[in-house]
This record gives sequence, structure tokens and C-alpha cells, in this order.
Amino acid sequence: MRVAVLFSGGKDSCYTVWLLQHQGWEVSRLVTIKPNGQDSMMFHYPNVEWTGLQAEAMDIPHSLIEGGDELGELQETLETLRRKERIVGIATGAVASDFQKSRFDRVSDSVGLRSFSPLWHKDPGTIVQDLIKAEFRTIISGVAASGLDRSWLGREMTAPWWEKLADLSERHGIHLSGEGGEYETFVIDAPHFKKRIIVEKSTTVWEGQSGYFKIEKASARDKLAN
Amino acid sequence: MPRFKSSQDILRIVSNKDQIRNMGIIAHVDHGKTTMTDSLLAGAGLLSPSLAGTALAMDFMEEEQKRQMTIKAANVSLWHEEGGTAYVLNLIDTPGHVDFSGKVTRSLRAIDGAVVVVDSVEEVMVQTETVTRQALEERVRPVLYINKIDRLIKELKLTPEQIQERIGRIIKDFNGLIDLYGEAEFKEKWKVSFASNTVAMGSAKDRWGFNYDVSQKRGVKFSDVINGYSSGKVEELKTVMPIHEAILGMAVGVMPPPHVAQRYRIPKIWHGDPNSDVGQAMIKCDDNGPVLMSVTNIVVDPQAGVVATGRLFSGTIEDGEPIYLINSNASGRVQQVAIYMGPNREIVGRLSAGNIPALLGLENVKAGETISSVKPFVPFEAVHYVTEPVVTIAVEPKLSRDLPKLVDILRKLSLEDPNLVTTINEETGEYLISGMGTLHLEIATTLITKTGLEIQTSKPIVIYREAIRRAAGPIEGRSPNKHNKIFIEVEPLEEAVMELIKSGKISEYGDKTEMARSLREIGWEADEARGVWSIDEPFNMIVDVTKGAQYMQEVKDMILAGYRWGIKEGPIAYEQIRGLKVKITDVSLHEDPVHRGPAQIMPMTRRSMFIAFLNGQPTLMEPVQRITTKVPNDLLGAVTSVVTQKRGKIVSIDQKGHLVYVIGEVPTVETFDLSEVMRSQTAGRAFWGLEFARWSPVPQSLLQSVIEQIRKRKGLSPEPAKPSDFVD
Repeated sequence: MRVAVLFSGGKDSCYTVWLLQHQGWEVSRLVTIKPNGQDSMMFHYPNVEWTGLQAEAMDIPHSLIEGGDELGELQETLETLRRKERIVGIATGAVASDFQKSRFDRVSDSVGLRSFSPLWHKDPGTIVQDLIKAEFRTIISGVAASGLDRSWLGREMTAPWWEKLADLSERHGIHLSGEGGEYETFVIDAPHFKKRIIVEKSTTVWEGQSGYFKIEKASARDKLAN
Repeated sequence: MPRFKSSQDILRIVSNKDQIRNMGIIAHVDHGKTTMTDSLLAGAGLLSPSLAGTALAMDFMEEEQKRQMTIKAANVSLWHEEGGTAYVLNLIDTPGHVDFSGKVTRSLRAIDGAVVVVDSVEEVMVQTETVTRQALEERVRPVLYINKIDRLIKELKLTPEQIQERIGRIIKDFNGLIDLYGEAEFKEKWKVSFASNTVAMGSAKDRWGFNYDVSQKRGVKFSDVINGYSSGKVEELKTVMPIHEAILGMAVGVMPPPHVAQRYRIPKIWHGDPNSDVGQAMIKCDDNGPVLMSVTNIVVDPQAGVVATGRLFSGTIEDGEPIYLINSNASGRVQQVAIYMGPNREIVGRLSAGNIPALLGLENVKAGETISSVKPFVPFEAVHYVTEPVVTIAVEPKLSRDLPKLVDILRKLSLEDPNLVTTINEETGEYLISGMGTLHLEIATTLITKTGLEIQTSKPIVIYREAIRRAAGPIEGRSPNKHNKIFIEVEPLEEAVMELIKSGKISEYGDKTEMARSLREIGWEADEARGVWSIDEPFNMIVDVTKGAQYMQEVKDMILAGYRWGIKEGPIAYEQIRGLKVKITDVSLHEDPVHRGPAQIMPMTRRSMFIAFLNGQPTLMEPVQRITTKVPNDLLGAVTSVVTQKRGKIVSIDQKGHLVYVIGEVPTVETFDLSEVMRSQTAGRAFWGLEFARWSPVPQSLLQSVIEQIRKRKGLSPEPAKPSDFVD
């Protein structure tokens, strides 16, 4: 059966795609919403323009919704997907945000789709550690929390990285999987990626207590067969 | 002759409250307080009589003996018989050196009467005034003992008429103090006179003394004293008119027993509701009430461990009693209850209200702690507000293997003396001791060395405070994820509010309605007065004046944490902020808890507070010491020039005979080499002391370089923060 995944390019949505594939679902489409402004409460993805490249790497069709009423656009897109591509559900990578999840649930309900959030209320530390163990290669594309400075931008999530984050989390109360917007991620490779992404050019922007890592140029390359 | 009493005898006596007196001896430094205590001990038969006068039993630390001043409040219980009735007098020694004056207030709380010792040569002095005022403020009834009469006879060679005239003047001056500082309902009753048995005179060193009663009973006259000295029969005086009879007689006859005193003292020395059950239990000195005790003194004994001594205001305390330590918000169990017999302790198993028990087995109790069997309870003092440390040194052991030993000693020191703050610098791993002056720290390091530990100390570093001079804001602050907003205003905290905090009249633990009323009285708006969230050291407050703000309760602790983070290390030089009122005027919070976690709310609060702070004409405050000097007339010029050289100013010059008393103020940072300068300029002929006076703004001309120095020491960039550093 076919499902779509609400896709931000970050670790949680990539992980969701992988989990659903493992469970036997056919992920037939990735839907990305480009937020209106930087500060959208629903959608806050730096590097949203590179989600297409990730979709290519996973070999899954991709829709990018831009502008206007975010939730209204989403509703329309889902309606079309249900009719034309016969999807039965929409999945999100939501972990802990009731605010986001309740709104998605309402939208999918309204178009008669089931909604999934396989990571919902999973232990955030476990999610991050599992990703690292499963060899997801993820870079930090944005930070906004006390304790996380600009040196975190562009870094790859690795085991030592995790230890540092866990330590800071204890001192500053940072949500371990960044659900409160503490950090944003961008996945460049994962077990279900057929191609990996090479970031060729980037810049970092720092705004006092938050900042982001902007990918200027990137490409997808075939993984070497082993 | 004095007799020994067994602890059984003592216990029998103290079961009747009429036979208990809790008293203290207070004086200007060097007026003979400790010598007199020893004479009393000798009289009560609890110390070998030949030792008094030189043994200084209360100054049981060698360090104090060397400096000839009492820095630790030790307790002794004495026994005295008057008119066929036996009395137990709990004698709580109060420190005379003002560097540690936090202890004076603490000791005064435990006593109902005080003997004020005045040196007849120097007469009523600055600290006589200070300690008498403090005693009156705590409703402690004073009596007067005029000391060192022997010097009037032998050294000044005054005639009996001149002596009489001088004594008359001292009594008049002293009553002047009572008039000035006494409360209306007590001052007439508490004025002293020879006829009312509230004045005694004598020589504590030679251990004689008399008051009206003794002179009548024993038929002694002042001419006997003169004859005694002229015929070299001084020894006889102490048999004819032993000092303890006069002093202890006054104590028994004039000072109130605990259950009488507590009726009028509790509403003054305790800031809770006197009509509550606990308030009434203390007012009635009720043996069956809850255990409520104010700890005046901690000694860490090598055998017994931590010994907590204090006044039991209500209840009966027993071995094994589970209790709460209100200030440190902890609980504990009393292992053993002891009573003081002279300077020694004896285990007695239980003691009832009105007594001065010594409690064993409470590991982490600090001086100033409130012990209670019930919770919540308004503590007797807000320990931290009493004093603020102003100088810091780093200590390290010469041999790194001694580190655990040093840590242990530092812990003990800070338990015994809460004004001594020991901390670890988390970045450098250094052990830091902060105290109220260079002398305070010198004593602390000497105590460490005395244990046989070899240590190295850094140069003393003065602690500064960051403060603002005018109100600023409201400033909008946004959380890093931009989903939350806060609006903050700052203003300098009014002096009157600081006074309320210092006196303990308002505290976080206190009654909120009462606090709101006190704040309204000094002009706060109703919503501000009701909105106080927290009072933090040193003298900072955060107030919530938002109206109907959603999710406010859920983020309250995070805002508080952000605010405390800010006041701990201010934006100018990472020094503590002092005297700041932070007002939250509005918030807008994300409805989803995950988007308003501590990592969002804390930095948002701190940043907006800092921007407001930096807009409020920020400055640094430096600690200023009061210097009190006593020099021969010809050295007046030398002393004033030392004071002005040290960026100081002269406050008063007072001539008494061939001596002149100069009081001045000198910034703490200039006092480190004051000993040497003073010695060289006065050929060592000046007698002087330092005490913390107040915080004062760093002069504008020095501000920049002071800030740079501090920042450099802390490894920060030399430029202080600007508001724009915190604006997104």
C-alpha cells in the first residue's frame, strides 16, 4: 500500500521513510512544504530547496509546495495524491510536538487519509543514537538554543557529537532530538539512499543566539557498489 | 566559694524556666569582654581560678588569643546562687570584631539580656554604640559594666571625685544610647543607674567588681578599692567583692527569664505570624510545642563532629529527634543533645524550651540555620543576606595529594563560619575562599595552616558588583527558535527594599501578604508588590506584572533560571549583579511545551534582561572598608595622609585626651598593603582595624581600566558587552 511522507530533509523525516519501507509500505511520494517565512511555527526547514536532491537520492517522486496558506496547500496536495496516486496515508516524522501533530492529523482526517507518526513519543535520545548506529550521515543545518553556538553548524552527527549534545542537554535542557527547534538537520546519506549527497559549497549565518548552515551547491552521486 | 555542679543538678535547675537566664557580653573591641568572661567562669567554679585573666577561655582558638579578640561565639553555662535559689546562666559570647558582625546579630537573637562592657579610660566608643544599638534592636535588655577602674587609679591617677565624675559621664552617655535607639515601650524601663542595680564597675583583670547590691550586702565602699591599690592588696579585692557576684547578680535580678522575654521578643526577632500556632508556641516558650531552634554557632569537633549550638524557642528536643533544616531545605536527625558546662559539653539526652542546647550528629548544619520539627516555617534569618563576601583568594595544597584534606577543611570552615564562602572555579579547578576582608581571609588561611596542611594562596582578588543607575526597558527578547517572546524592564532596587531584605522582614519563605504590605508601604504598585517571584542574593528581585499571560506558570522556573544565570555573571565583567529589580511586563509563549523548553526560555530571559541592564547606565560597585584608627595626637597628619593616599576619605576625627580617633573609608582594593604603609608612616604606633562598610560605584575615571583588568583575568575580551551584542 502506498503512503506519502511529509518530508523536510531532516533526520526525522528521512528516518520515517526508512522505517516505513522496512515495515513494507510503499513510500510513493515525498511532500515538502516551503515555509512562508523563517519563523514559521509549523515548517522550519533550512535548505528546503535541496530536498529534491534527497528525493532523487532515495529515488522517490517529490512535490514541493510553495507559498500561500501552508496548511491549506497541504490539504489540497493530499487530496490530489489520494485521488491520483491512490495513497492511503500520510506519515510525518513528528516526535513530541503536539502543536504540529494535532494540525497534521486534522488535515489528513479532512481528506480521508490515515496519518502515521512512527517516531511519535519515542525516546528522543534513542532515536538519535539509532540513526548514528544505522549509519545515517546527517549534518547540523541550524541551531537555536543556549549551549549550541556557531561551531555546531555544518558538523556531522557522530558518536562523539552525540556525547557532547547529551552533556549540554543536561545543563541547558535541550530537547535531545531538537524537537523544540533547538537544532535542524539535513541528511546526506542513509542506508536507503541510492545516491549520496556531496555538499560542494556552503556558508554559515550567525544571528546572535541562533544560526543556520546554508548549502549553496550540492550534487548526488551514485554510491560505490560493494 | 564557687562549687562544681553536676549535669544532673544543672538539669534539675533548668526544668524551671524562672531559674534560667540567657545572656551575653558585648563591648567595643579591647574593652575587656573576654577577660570578664573568664572571671565569670572562674567565679562559677568551672575553670581553674588562677588561670582567669590570662587564659581567655572563650577564645579557645590560639589564633584569637594572638589577636586578642573573640572571633568565635562559644557558649558556656554557668551556675549562680542568689537569695537561696540556684540559677543557670547561659553565657553566649558575642564577637567584638565587626568584620564578623553577622555573628553579632545571630548571637543577640539567642540572648535576652546583655552586659555591655565599657572601658573607663576610653569611655563609650563607636562600637559600644553599634553593639548597644544592635542589642536594643533585638530587644535584648542591656546592663552596664564599667571596666578597667584600676587604670583610672594606677595610670591616670585620678582622684575619687574625678573617678566619680567620669563614671557619671559614662552612665549618662550610655543612657543617651538607650534613649536614641531604644523602643518607646522599653527605653525608660531599661535605662541604667547604680541605684537600680543595673550598673556595676570594677576590674575584670583583677577580678573585682561591685554594684549597689553587693556594696550593701558586703558593706564595701569605693575607698576600699582605692586603699586596695595603694596598699598593694589587690588580691584581697576579689575576695571582698568578687566580680561574678556583681555581674551574675545583675543578670539574675534584672534580666528576664526566657519565658518572660519571649513574650515580647518573638514578634521582633521572628518575622512569621505571631498569632500562628508556631508563633504562639514560641511566645509561650512551650515545652510541648514544636521544636523551633535558631542555631547561633557551629563547631566542628575532632571527636564529636559537627556541634550545633543555639536557642531553643519552643518544644523539647531529644536524642534521635528527626528535624528539618529550614534554610538549607534539608532534613536530619539529632543524635545527641548536650548542655554546656563551662566551655565543655555534657550529653544530657533532652532539653526544653528556653535553653541553649548543643546538638550532635547534624552533618550539614550551618551557623544561622533554623531547626524545626514542622514545615513550612519562616526561618529566623535569611542567612545569605546578612553579609556579602568582598575578597577572594585561591588556595591550593603544596602537595597535590593533600587536596582531599584541603577540601575537607574548607567544608568545615564554611560550616563554622557561613560568612566564609568556599567555591570551586569550574574552569580552572581552583579552590576559592571569599571573605569579608583581608583579615578575615588571613584568619582562615592561618586556620588551615594550623592543621598541618601546607598551602599556597593567590593574591587577594576584590569582588565587584554590577549595577545600574537608572531604569530601562521594556525590552523585547525572543527565544532562539523565535517562537517565544518576553518583555523585561529593569530598575535599581530601592535602598528601602534592600533594608527590608537585609533585616529579614521580607523573604522568599515569608508570608506573601505580609511582604506585599511591606512593599506597598514603601511605594510599590499593588501588582508589583504581589508579583514578587524571588529574592536573590545579593539583593536582586524578579517581579511578574503580566496579566493573564498563558503558560506563564509552566515556564516560571525557566525564566527564573535564566534570570539567576544573568545575575550570577553580569554583562559588564561577569561579576554578580547587585540591587537589580527585574520586571516581566509581558510574555508570549508557544502553546506547545516542546517549543518552550529551558534552552529557549532561559537565554531569552537573560538576553532581554542584559539589553535592558546595559541601557540602564551600568556601572561597577566596589567594596569599601571602614578604617578605625587610634593614634597619638602627633600622628593625626600621618594617618589622614595614608587614608587619602589610598583613595580614601576621612569620615570623622574625634579627640579624647592625648589620643585621636580617626574613622575613614578606603576602597578594599587599596587595603592589601595597608599594614605596611600604616606601619612605616606611623612607626607602628597606630592601633587600627578594618571592617566592611558599603558598596560604592567605581569612580568614572577608573571604571574602564577596572573592567579591562577583570575581563583580562577572566580570559574575556577587554571590551565590555554592548546592548547590540544581545540583539538578534
